[in-house]
Amino acid sequence: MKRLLAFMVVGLVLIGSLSARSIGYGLGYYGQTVEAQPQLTSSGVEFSLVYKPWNLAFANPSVIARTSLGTDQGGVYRVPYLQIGFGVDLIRTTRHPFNFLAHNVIAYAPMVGVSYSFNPKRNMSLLALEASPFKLIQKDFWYEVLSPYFFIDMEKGEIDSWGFNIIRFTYFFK
Amino acid sequence: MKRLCLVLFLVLFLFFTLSCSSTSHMLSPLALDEALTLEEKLLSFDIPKVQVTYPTVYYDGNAWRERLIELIEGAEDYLITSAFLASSSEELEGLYTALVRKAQSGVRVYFVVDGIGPFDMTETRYHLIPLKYLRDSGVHLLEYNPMSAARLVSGINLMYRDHRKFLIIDGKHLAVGGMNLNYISIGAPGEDLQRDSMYEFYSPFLAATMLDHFVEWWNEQSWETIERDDFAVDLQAADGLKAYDAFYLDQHPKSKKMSQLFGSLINEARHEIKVLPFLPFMDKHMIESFRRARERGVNIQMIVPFDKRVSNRKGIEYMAKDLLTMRIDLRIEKESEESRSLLHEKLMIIDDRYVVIGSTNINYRSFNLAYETALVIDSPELAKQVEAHFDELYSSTVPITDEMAESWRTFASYPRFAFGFIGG
Repeated sequence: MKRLLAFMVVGLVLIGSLSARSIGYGLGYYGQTVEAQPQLTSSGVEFSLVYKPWNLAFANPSVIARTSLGTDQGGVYRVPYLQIGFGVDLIRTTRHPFNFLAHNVIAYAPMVGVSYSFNPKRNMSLLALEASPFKLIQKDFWYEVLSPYFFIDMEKGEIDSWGFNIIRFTYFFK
Repeated sequence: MKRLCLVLFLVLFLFFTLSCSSTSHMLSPLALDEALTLEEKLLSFDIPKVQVTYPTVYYDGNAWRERLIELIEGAEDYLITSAFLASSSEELEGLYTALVRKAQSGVRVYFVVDGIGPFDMTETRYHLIPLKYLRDSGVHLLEYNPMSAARLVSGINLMYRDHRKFLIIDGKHLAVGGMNLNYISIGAPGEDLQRDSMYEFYSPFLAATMLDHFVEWWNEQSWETIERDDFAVDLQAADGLKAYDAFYLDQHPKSKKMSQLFGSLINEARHEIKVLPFLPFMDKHMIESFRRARERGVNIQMIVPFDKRVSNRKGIEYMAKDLLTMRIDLRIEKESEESRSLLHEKLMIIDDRYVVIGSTNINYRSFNLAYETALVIDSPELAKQVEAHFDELYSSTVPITDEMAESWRTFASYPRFAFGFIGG
């Protein structure tokens, strides 16, 4: 029964991927502060891969993998995080005041996410929580600005670092 | 080192772009199979057969604009139109006002324009009013793949363009062809007005097929989801009218269907092919397909337009040497007052029987990187009519000779050729 259920879930996901723009990649710019080691505070570009099997109007899930490349306070290039996790678009609506920004009808879809994050320099695993309160989406594109995130040290139970994705564009292949 | 990296990047970019060409399918065993009929081949390529009535042909953009306004004013339920380039201007105010009035009266108006529209570099740029205002009147306006800084992230996908030009009204009236909905296509006076063609049909069968494609495509692009069942078609509406067999292709970028269609058609030719390719930036498979037909003894006439835009002309002239390897009757329009109006028309006539119309240029971009339409009509009557038009154009041409092609093949023209090949 469990195996059948697993096959059904995989099947549904595959059907989703075949019937819509499901796989995408993104490019963004982040800035982040590391509370414990301020010299590792950095900013730079972020790359992401996204898989969204559906286009649900409520609670639309996606799997997101991210990495970034930036310079720290000493001007040294760092990879501050490698991430994999889930995002959920809480709601999708085209009734919002931002339609003037886009060529076509665009939907507002605020997102929250949770990820496993790994900091290679510090060899440290963290829990990442993020929000994209200003996320506008089209069938083939996501536009996100000022998305805050926090990395939580689960062992200490405190915020290790925090930052913003200042801007992020994600394109979905047909 | 930086320069080497840049060159390497450009070479890789061109390699990946060109290696994705579908045109090898023009020479695929199925396209060349002598044992199969053209119909069997096209159906096997999933290119549907439809019935169409005899079309009314418009060669004058202003005449088409006036007819278009009439058709729009007659729309009762829905109207769908798509154009590669579309913008308003003083001359087109009547047309766009008619669209707005219809939308305001409750007729569902769906208007698709390619995202390159605002970057129209023809004479239209001096007469360009963007169409976003249509949305305020209830027109469902969709700009395909808009050009914006953010969308640079989509990389090579920005090259995919929607080049289709068609109209569907109430599931009966429809039109396909090469005319855009901008100043130089249907609004300009004098030499700025392009020479082109639109074919108007009264054909519920073709409308039903086009709607099947349109609804699916629209829902891939827009949040304004539509249902196919909401676009009624009265299949009995053309009862009693003489019908002709036709095949309709709605091509998507990266699809091999356009290559299969043209490969099969060229292979079908027994004695004659007449072609208006518009921008004949052909790759080796396209050239080979025509060359083989010529080798079989098929008489092929191809007319290259005179393009007063120097950049485009130089690019095509660079290509001439390759085109001559087809050993066909390759012609170029003489420079004259008339030819200063660009011949934008796309047409192929095969054996006085098959007429191929639509938005498709006979070139690499149309076959690989664009949404296009092609309608193959099996009608000796129509072939006779459009051949007379072709022959008239032919009378104002001169042959392109080896000497001309050699003199045009200059290194300075190569960038224009390369740009035209990918972007033309």
